[in-house]
Amino acid sequence: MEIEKKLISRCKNYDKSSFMELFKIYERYLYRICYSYTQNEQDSLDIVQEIYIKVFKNILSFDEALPFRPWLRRISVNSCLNFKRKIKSNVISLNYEYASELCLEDTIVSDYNLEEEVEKKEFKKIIKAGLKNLPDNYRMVIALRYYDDLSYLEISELLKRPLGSIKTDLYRAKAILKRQLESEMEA
Amino acid sequence: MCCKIDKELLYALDDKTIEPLEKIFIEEHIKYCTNCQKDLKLIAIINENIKDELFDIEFPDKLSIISQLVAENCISQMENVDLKYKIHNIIDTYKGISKVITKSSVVYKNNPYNNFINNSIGATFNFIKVPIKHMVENKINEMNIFKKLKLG
Repeated sequence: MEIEKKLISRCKNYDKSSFMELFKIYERYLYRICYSYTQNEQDSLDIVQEIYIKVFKNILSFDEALPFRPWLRRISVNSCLNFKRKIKSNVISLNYEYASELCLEDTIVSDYNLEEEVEKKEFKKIIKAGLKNLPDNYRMVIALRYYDDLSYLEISELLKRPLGSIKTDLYRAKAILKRQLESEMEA
Repeated sequence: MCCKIDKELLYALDDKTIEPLEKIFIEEHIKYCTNCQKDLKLIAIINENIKDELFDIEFPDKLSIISQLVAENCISQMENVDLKYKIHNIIDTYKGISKVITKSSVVYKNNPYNNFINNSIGATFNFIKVPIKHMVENKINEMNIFKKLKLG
């Protein structure tokens, strides 16, 4: 924490190596949030760039007495929500089917509990595809809740939305995924 | 048979945000409702898979390059605005280089094989020192003879 404060204080003096270090520390965190929201590599990289630039432009206004991560999270979430996608990016990778087939083959060869493993792989595949097709606002709530481990109250403050609507979003998102799982299981 | 209970309670129970009274009610209900038991199991599977999905993200190689390039570009813009940042960063860079050089020379000095290398070079030199000395002396004598013959 103390090291981070020193780092940020050096960043405020536009020290090149400090900025590089700061971006390096947070690059994976930022990418994960962006990817959870966009489900698309190129869009996520674009947003990460945008976040870096915003951090750079606003670093002087950051209060060093406060923790850095929530400030960065707010910028990240706003950047994601404001991101206008030119192309609808809910496109599943061409390699996706091929890759999952490979995994299944591996399982068939190696694991004794075949049925359970195949079922797990199938669930994973359905959830992966399901997440891609969820509305953007649901995905953001999921990312903040599951990845950043925020409470409903923290999410509601961050997104400036009522607590009830955050809960409902998460409930509806999971209900959609559940319906997809059920229909796959019945098929 | 379809269960009429508010399904949101199951999600609340699963992520531990349920009210105490509702918790007692739903737990009693689940004991005999196979539909809700099945739903709760599915919700747990969904949770587990969502977490896996979020944590299994692959990071593109480009990510680190972008982090570095954006930092460099932003700083270079600032340097154009104010020279003092440019001077600071140049000094900082050279300090960094100097540090690396100093550190690497320390590594060389502390190299435990240095003595071995010195001794090997010394032994080789001692080995060829005498024949070279003879060779040089012979050459000088030859030269002196030639000089005397020429003068004579």
